[in-house]
Amino acid sequence: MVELPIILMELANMLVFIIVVLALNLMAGYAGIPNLGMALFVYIGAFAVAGLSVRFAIILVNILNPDFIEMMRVTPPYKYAVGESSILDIILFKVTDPAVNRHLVPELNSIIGDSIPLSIMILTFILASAIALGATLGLIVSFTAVRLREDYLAIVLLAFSEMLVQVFFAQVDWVAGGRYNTWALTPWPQKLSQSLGNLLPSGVKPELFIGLIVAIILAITTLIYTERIANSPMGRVLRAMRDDDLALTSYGRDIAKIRLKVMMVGSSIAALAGVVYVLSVQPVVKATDYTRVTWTFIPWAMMILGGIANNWGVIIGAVIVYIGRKLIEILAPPAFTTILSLIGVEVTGATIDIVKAVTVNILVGVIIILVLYLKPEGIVPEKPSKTLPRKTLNSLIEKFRGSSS
Amino acid sequence: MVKINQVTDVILEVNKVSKYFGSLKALDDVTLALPRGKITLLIGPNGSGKTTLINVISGVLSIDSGSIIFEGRDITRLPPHDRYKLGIVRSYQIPRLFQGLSVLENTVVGKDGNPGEGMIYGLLKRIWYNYEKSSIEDALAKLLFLNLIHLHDRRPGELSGGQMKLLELSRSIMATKPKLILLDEPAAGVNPVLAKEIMSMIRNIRDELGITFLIVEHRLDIAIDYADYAIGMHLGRVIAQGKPKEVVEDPKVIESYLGG
Repeated sequence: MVELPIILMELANMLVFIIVVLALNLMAGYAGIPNLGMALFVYIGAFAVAGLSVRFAIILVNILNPDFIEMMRVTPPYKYAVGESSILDIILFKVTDPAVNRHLVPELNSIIGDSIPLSIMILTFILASAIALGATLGLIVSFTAVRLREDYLAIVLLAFSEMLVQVFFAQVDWVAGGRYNTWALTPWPQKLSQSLGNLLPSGVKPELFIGLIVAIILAITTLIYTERIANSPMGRVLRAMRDDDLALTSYGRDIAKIRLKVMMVGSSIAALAGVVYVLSVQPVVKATDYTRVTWTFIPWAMMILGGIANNWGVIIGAVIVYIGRKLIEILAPPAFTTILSLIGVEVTGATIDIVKAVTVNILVGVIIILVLYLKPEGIVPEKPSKTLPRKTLNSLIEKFRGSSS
Repeated sequence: MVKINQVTDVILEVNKVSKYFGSLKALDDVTLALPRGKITLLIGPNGSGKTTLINVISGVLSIDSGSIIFEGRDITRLPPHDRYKLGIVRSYQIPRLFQGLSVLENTVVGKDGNPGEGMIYGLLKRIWYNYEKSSIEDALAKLLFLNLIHLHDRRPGELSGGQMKLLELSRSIMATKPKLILLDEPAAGVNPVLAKEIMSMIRNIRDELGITFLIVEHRLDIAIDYADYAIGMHLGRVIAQGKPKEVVEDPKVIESYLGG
């Protein structure tokens, strides 16, 4: 019997993937921007909750209590790592030092939790900075998007994402922890957590529950947004741009501008998904965990399976691939262990991790190849943008057809 | 012979325009003018530079030298979408249809200026609903005229070659305020009866709205009766211009078609 907290966490994780896939579908499915850099945008949201907001929080706390940083210089366990460092030095470099970070974040969390205004300020900062970072990166990327052909652009986005996440953020320790874990803030007021704690079944942490609620709200909002855009004149123009951008410029549309807007919106949504992931599923943030397989290729497989340029379709695709992936992660290791033990090979923990990763990679590849070969339109195919109610449209068509006969 | 340059009311001037593809001179020092509110036919054998000229006027290709003046304004450096906003609309010889869109949607996209085309405005239905409804009515009227209305919900991939040409045409006549429409072989692959209807529709549009047309067409038998002027091209150069009959009977034009 699987425990309730695990089910809730998996549910939250699945909702995060649904948000990411909806954002990807907006950019790639509708607008035809082959975003192979999704991992970067999700990671940047995670960075906003961890490395970035911790700095904002320490500045804020130090303003309210000017002795806070001074206290860090003299009290253990901070003083060994912080020493006589300047304030700027501490804010920029020391907060992500694992020796400081793992003590500092819980302390900041309890200070934030005690004050509702502080919680609201931190939460606002997290959301605003995730949107701003996502939009800025989307803007930078779209400058290349204007000039490059689709296939080149896909490679550029992949390289851009790998370079920043797996090289810059993963190797430069002071920015976001680099090789070490950094902890994310939990910006919820303690009163809320306590009163929820009394209501929730035992074992379910209030943070997880609140995170799940946030995930549900963001997933529904994203679905409403993308569906309304899809069924507006904008949705139609995006699909036209995907099909033939040159023809669309001949009909007066500035494609560079459209791409820029789509990239900014899509990237911001992906960054918010990163925020939700950290708040509900994984509070320990490490750049190397945000791999291209998990956050780029799996969302692509979900989108292709569900049906490109169909929001409901890609949600179905996300659910199927997510559950399939979980099943494989559960079933593959024992199966391999059994097979390998038959030929006398001993299986270690490290081998099991590799088996999990490899089988998931195979799953992604198989889905993409099979769907594109057998049913390229996916489970739920693309539909015309429903800008007018069906009845109105049909009566218009009938009116014109009637006048011809 | 009447030189088109002598016509006083000119909508578009092409001055000494050259365009190279590597060492190939696709347009060689081309100078011509299009009279406002007239239908000008652009003729010439394959490879004479007709489509390149359309691409250059619509901004799809940039030029290597020369200038293009539209209503007294130098548009040489303007991107295609800005030229469209000035009123220059074009169709493509090989239809460039939006494959994922229905026939009706393909036509509606031809109309610019929908207030709902934004990542935020798209959400506000009451802002764009009336515009959208009238665009769709407009598009249905075009589809009805071009005999495509029964195919309104099909994808372009399901159409015949001639129907694709008609759909391409339907998009270009959707433009909000066109002044100059460049049509690249609108009647190719279309049956003669419908081809004549298309040409007479073009003439009606010219008469009613005063729109200027530049039409590339090989079907001279059909097109010639509807044109006001004609320009003959060969090997990237303008070799004749004037009244359609005169241009068609020009020895240089005849020679070029015979492979001279």
